[in-house]
Amino acid sequence: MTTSATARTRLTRWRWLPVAVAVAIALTGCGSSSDGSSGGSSGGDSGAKSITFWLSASAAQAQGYHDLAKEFQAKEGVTVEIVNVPYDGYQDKLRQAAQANSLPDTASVPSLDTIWINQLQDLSATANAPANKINKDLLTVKDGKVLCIPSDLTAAGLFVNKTLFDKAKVKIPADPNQTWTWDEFLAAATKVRTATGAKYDLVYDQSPARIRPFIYASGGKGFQLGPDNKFATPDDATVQALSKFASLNDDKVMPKSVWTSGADPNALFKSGQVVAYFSGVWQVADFAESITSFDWASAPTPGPIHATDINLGGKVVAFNNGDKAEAAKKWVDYLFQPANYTKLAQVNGYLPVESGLTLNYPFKKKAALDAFQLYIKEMELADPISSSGHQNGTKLLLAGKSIQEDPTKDEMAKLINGQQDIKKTVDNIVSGLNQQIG
Amino acid sequence: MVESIPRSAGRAEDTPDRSGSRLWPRRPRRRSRRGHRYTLVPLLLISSNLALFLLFFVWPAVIGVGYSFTSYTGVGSAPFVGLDNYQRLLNDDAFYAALIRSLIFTAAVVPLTFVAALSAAVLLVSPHSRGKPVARVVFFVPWLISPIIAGVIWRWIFGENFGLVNYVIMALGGEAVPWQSNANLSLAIVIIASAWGNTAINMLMFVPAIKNVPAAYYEAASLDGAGSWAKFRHITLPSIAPTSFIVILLSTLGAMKEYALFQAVNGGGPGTENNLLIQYIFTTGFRRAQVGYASAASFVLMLLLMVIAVVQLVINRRKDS
Repeated sequence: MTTSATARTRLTRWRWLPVAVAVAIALTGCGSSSDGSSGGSSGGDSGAKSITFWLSASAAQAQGYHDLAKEFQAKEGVTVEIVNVPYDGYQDKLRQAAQANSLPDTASVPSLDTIWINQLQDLSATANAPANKINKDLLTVKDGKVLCIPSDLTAAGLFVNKTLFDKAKVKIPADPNQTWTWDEFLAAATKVRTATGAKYDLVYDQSPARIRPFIYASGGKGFQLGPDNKFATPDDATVQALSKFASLNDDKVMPKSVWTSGADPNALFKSGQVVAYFSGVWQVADFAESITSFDWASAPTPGPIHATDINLGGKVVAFNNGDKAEAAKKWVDYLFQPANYTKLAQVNGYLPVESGLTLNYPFKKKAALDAFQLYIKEMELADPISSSGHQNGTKLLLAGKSIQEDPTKDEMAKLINGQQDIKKTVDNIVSGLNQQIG
Repeated sequence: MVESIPRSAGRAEDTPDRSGSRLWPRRPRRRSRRGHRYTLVPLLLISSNLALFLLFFVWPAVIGVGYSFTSYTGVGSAPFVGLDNYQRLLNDDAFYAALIRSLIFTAAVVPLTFVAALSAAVLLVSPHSRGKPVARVVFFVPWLISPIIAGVIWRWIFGENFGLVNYVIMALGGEAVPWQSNANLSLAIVIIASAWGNTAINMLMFVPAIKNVPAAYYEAASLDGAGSWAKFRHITLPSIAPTSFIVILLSTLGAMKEYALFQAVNGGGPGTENNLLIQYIFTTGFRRAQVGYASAASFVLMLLLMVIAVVQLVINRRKDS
């Protein structure tokens, strides 16, 4: 063998050394920590010095948590890093975090997911503490373990542009006991629109939970679980209600763009060019701060059947993240201590889950204070079917199943867009729900 | 008549011999220590990229292909289902709708981007243009903006309810145009927004290519009495053909993978009419937890992109020869 040949052989032999070294370095760098926690390491068995708390809320409804986080840090020496995640995709993000073993330490989640339900800590001590007086009916309990504590109660409801109503001299019913029907409300809204030159009668949140009250008010039962834990084909009243709802998206009563293309109804209502907005109580804190160009008011939910969608605003959970677990549980317990929860509910404008609290909401606007009073009355008057959506979710969860993506939104968008008829829409919703249940 | 310039014109003549499968240039028989450098140094320089490529592309891709033969949901076990996912895909109308929409989008946005980028580059190179520094900034800003922000901007401009364009139309006495709830208009907005966003980077590729065309060709053409269009058609375009090929190839692959802009402009709507393949894969994989099925769709998309790339390469080589 010549010298050059030997050299070349040697070269060939060592050619991949740099690659191997780089791969080894990269792999070492990508090695995961053993504790599986999402935050920085604490290093002590007494717990972490920082924990993460994910939520999805408007700035107004996140403020209460920021205030309490500062107090918690001062008291316990633990920093709470609050991450405000956009609602659209929050559930997906949690699912992906679970798959990547990087769940937050604590969170306020829209709903529980079977994918990460086994990684939740038991919050019984906080939930059952006599001093807290938390409504036990609102807890999700599995095998004696309290999986989450709701941060607040929510209800869907109607907001109106009071300035436009006053201008058109159209009256808004004040007493939820004598509410208007959907037909009466729509007639009134059209009258206001034509009298004032507004653009639309109504904008309506693009959400399965928000469309339920429209179905219930029309006498429909909506999409309900049968005894076999499968969603049954809905009754005729539900089908008719969905048809009617689709027909309202005619760019006069309602803009098509909200339900078909994801236009923001909140922004449209705030423009002052829309007579009414069907959304929910969580908007009150935001409207109190951000609507200054016109007067707004909460109005009774249209009937004839007095129904809304009673749900839990957020479900506070603590994940079992190694040495962060203890601090996470402490944070959740801190949130629900009556004095702290009072502050949280007042600042965030929450309908409370704890009884016996004296709440003085810090809103200067009378409209906001009136709205809370109205929502409390509305929830008392609401037909029992109003909480069936939330109950179905809990029932499925305890059976080890969950609905990750309610197809109602997408299928209704296709119906409104003329891509399919009502029969196909209803069939697709039912089959889409049942497919996920398995 | 000006003859077309050969493709090799304007290229450097001193490129090293790359014949055979050598990793280093042909050297004299006696190899020195420099021989080590010709192999080890390039390998060392590409090793980090290679490691990242293997770690973040090849490995996940292999796993993805594996999942495409299973009914994996993202957690738990991954039961083997053979070719079931692919059979389902072939009978899925939503998949075909997404594929056709992706192809329509690509067929529209690539020529538009190409023309816009080339026009901008010609203007920036032209000795007759004024205000080039300002123009460079103006042309380049769209590329600096995140697609999500760009989408929001275009949504404001073409908002169906309170958008700027509809405001102007109505102020002039016209009817509001359904920019969002009409599927084709909605797609047109994304096509324009995408071309607007991608013009700058392609323009940057064209500018040096145009500058590298030897001035002698233009002078000769001028003596033959060729006008501006004839020079552009017979000298500039053939001379920048390699750059044009790269621009078209990268734009095509980018358009087929567009996601953020659609999410921001119309959310894939109205309804699901503007759901492209990536949206379809995301929805089935992450929202409906059908990771196996979405992996099959991803693999089909990858094959499709490879076919497009190979076809373009073949066409380019034939033109070359």
